[in-house]
Amino acid sequence: MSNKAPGKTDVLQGTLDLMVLQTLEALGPQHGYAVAARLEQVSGGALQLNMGTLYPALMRLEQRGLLKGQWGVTDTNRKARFYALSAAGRRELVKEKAAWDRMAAIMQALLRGTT
Amino acid sequence: MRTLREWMVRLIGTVIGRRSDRDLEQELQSHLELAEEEARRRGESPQQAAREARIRFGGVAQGMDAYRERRGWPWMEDLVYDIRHAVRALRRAPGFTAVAVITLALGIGANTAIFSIVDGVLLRPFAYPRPEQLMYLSTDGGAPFPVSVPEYLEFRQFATTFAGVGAFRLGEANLSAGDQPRRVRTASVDASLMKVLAVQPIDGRLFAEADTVVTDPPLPGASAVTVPLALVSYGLWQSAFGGRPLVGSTIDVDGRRLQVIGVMPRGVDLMDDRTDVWLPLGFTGAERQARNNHNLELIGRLKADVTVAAAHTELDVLIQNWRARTGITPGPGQAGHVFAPSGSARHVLLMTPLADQVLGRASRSIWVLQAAVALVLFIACANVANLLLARAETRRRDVAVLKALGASRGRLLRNAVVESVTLAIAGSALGIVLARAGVDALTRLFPLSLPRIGEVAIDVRVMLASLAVAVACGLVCGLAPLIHTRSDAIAERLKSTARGSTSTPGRRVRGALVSVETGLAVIVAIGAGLLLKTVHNLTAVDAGFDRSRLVTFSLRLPSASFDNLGRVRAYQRILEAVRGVPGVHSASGMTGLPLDRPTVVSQTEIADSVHPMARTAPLVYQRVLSDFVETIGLPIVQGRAFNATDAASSGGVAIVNETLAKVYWQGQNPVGQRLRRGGTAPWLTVIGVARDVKQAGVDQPVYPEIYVLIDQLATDTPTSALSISPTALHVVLRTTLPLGSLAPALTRAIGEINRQVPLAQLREMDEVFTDSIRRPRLLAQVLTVFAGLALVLAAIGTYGVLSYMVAERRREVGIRLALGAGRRRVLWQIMRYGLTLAGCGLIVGVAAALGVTRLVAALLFEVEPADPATLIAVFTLLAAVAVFACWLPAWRASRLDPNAVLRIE
Repeated sequence: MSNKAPGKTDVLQGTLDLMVLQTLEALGPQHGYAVAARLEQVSGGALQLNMGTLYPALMRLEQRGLLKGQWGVTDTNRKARFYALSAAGRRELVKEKAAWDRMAAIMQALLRGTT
Repeated sequence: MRTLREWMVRLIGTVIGRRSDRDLEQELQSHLELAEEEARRRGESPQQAAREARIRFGGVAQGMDAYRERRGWPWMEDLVYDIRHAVRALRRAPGFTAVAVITLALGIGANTAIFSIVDGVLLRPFAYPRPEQLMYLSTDGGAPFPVSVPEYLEFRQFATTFAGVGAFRLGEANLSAGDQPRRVRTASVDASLMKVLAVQPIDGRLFAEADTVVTDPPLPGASAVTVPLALVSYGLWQSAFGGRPLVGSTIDVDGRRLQVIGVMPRGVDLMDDRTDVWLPLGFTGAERQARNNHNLELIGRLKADVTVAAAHTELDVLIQNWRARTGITPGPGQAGHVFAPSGSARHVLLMTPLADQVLGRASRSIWVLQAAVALVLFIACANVANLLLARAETRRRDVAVLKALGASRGRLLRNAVVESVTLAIAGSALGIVLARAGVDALTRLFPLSLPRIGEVAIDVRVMLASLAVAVACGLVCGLAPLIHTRSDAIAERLKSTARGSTSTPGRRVRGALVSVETGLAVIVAIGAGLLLKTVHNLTAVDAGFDRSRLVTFSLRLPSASFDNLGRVRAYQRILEAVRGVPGVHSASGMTGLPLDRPTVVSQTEIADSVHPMARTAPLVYQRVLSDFVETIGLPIVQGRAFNATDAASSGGVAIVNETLAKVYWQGQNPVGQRLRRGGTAPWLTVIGVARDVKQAGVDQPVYPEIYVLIDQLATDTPTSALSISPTALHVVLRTTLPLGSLAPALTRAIGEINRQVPLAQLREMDEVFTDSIRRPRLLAQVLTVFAGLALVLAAIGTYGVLSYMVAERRREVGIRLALGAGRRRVLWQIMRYGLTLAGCGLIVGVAAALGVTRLVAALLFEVEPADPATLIAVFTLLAAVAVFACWLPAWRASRLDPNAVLRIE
């Protein structure tokens, strides 16, 4: 049940939301597998999301009105549910990104300062 | 904002418009397919691809579980699912379910019944608002003693910590309602008391100040004549007047016509006296001056922001300064009688919370019952935990399979707990039914044994408490069997055969349960044993007279209908009529019913007292009519009894009890000694000494007592208070007739003298006696029932554990028998296991009981809390029961047919 394994990274809840939003911004409307595969690829395999982590996150974002899900067909002609950013989702992404940058800057300054 | 929105979406998601499970499942399925597709594209075999996808992304089922957690309130859905699952599982095992539910119902039912008493009597003792502010005030006369009118009026004026103080007197009266007169209980209260209690009538109004104005009575010492008004209790309104509108009409109380101005709400009572009629209380000019005449009880209500401690402090200061504030100087007689904190004239005002005053020792009895019944519940829980444990053992393989299929530990735990809680709630439902029957039986069998017991009911509050207890039991029972599953290795479980043996921790838990329940049963049984012995000892006390075939009833001849001497003659005529009833051997009357009389004492001057301290003594007066000594069978140890000459003469004669003779004449001949009440009444000459008769109760000490003859009043014209004939009399008669056939004859005999006088409280003297020990009897009998329950449950528990062990080791036993082991050896081995467990429980239980029973010491009579005889008896009884409970399964094991057992294997 656990998605913990050596070499893999735990995902903080807020971070995962940001990752998903950013992925959908970059790739356009995509299904869950594509999002997972993309995150795995970008992280060089460090981030493996199992379904029990990914889909609740997608649902959460959809419930907050940041995503819109719709059934569609993949290029290999398989049925899949595609998620797209809503207008609110885009606004949220901009806000979260700014917040992340600020936080990252603070963390960096802090970590440098102490070492 | 954000959370609110999500919350709304979730709420809507639970109720409507949510994506179906199928939809979600499809999405997850497509996810895996996409992953497999990619893997195949990389050249993996289809099987390998599928495996890899599942390892990378997890199973659909687990994904669904996580998914559902986000959608709506998964716990609610799960709960419904779990309950349905539990009900189905329980239905498949009807035997197990029935035993578990009945066990829990007994435990929970007993607790519910007792809790309804705790709640109705202890937690909500009064029908008044804010009862914790109410204080009972009395003077200190060894026991709480009434307050005099001037003291009351002064206190009302002085006290600043009280919002109000009110006074009352309790009494009885004849009520003529319809054609049947009846005896009612009265409370004379002033307007201020009604304000203090803060009750509102359900109809009409309460007494106002103007209603308590009085005129001086025609006779010195008789009660004042008040405005003819009355309030009626809800109970009397229903029983005597059928609930019809009563306000404005008149009722006949003690021969006076009183106008009913209001009806009290249900449950409103005073001092648990079951007040029927409320009368106005006022004070005459003489009463306002009588400092020494203590005849009022007081209740005060503290101001909202005043603590009990602050009120005590004020009271102490008041007592210190009372003399200065009232300007009363010390001196002989009434004038100097004033509150003083210390010294020989010590006279103080005591304050007790009203609830403590009314409930008194009853509260300890009730808590003892609650404690005992809680132990019974523990035993019931232990048994059910045991059953669940056994059930869990048989389902180990199922559980292991579920685990392998990915059920989380939490999920399994929840399943188990929901199942046991479901059992417990079913048990509590049945328990409430049992409790209702139990409380009904209790209030019927012991109607007056506890204060306010008539108000006890299984209401919503009690049911909620019962439900809470049930859920707690469910949790405890459900979790106990899981204690050892933590260490379960799934593979181990899967490999084990269906008849696999119990894991060691499982057996240990079960063994511990047997010991614990035996121990708890020991504690309850010892408690019951001590109380039974108490009742036995109380019954064995010599009351001082022969109470067999003795019947008593109460007569009340009110002053409104009889003058002082007319009343004496009326008593004599009624007694003549009663003696004429066929089957009545003798009859007489007395003012105080032994074992049921308040210890009211009067200061009496003793002419030649040799007591070093006192020339005056507080004596209990028993005023009797002719034939008293003969009728009641009072043994005269010295001198003689009253005779016909005494009754007709005016020279006052008296009989004293042995205690009086011993204390005040110490070996001198009491016969011929003289004493006089109050120091002013005519002298009485002692003609005889009688054996001590118990006055307040069999467990109470005997006070110095004096018997005087009422008949002598009719012959002279004395002026003392003693010369006023008593308004009420307890008639005693020695007869072989049963009560049922006596009643009509007695009613006729009284009716010939006065139609308004009811035959009241007709009962056998034995009943007076059993009533006087009703609370210990209630405690002993109910505790015995609980002890029996505890014993049976513990025995069933022991039996169950051993039976399970035998069933589990059938094969082993079979092999051993086949290899030639003796049946006795097998029997002994199994019994030894069970008896070791029960023995540990017995020893620990006895040790614990030694500590616990000290808490009931106050309720015992002539029994030590560590009474060896009781300990030995209980130990032997429980040991015998344990031996039987162990022997039965062991005997069955030893009877096993090895061939049959091994063939099944």
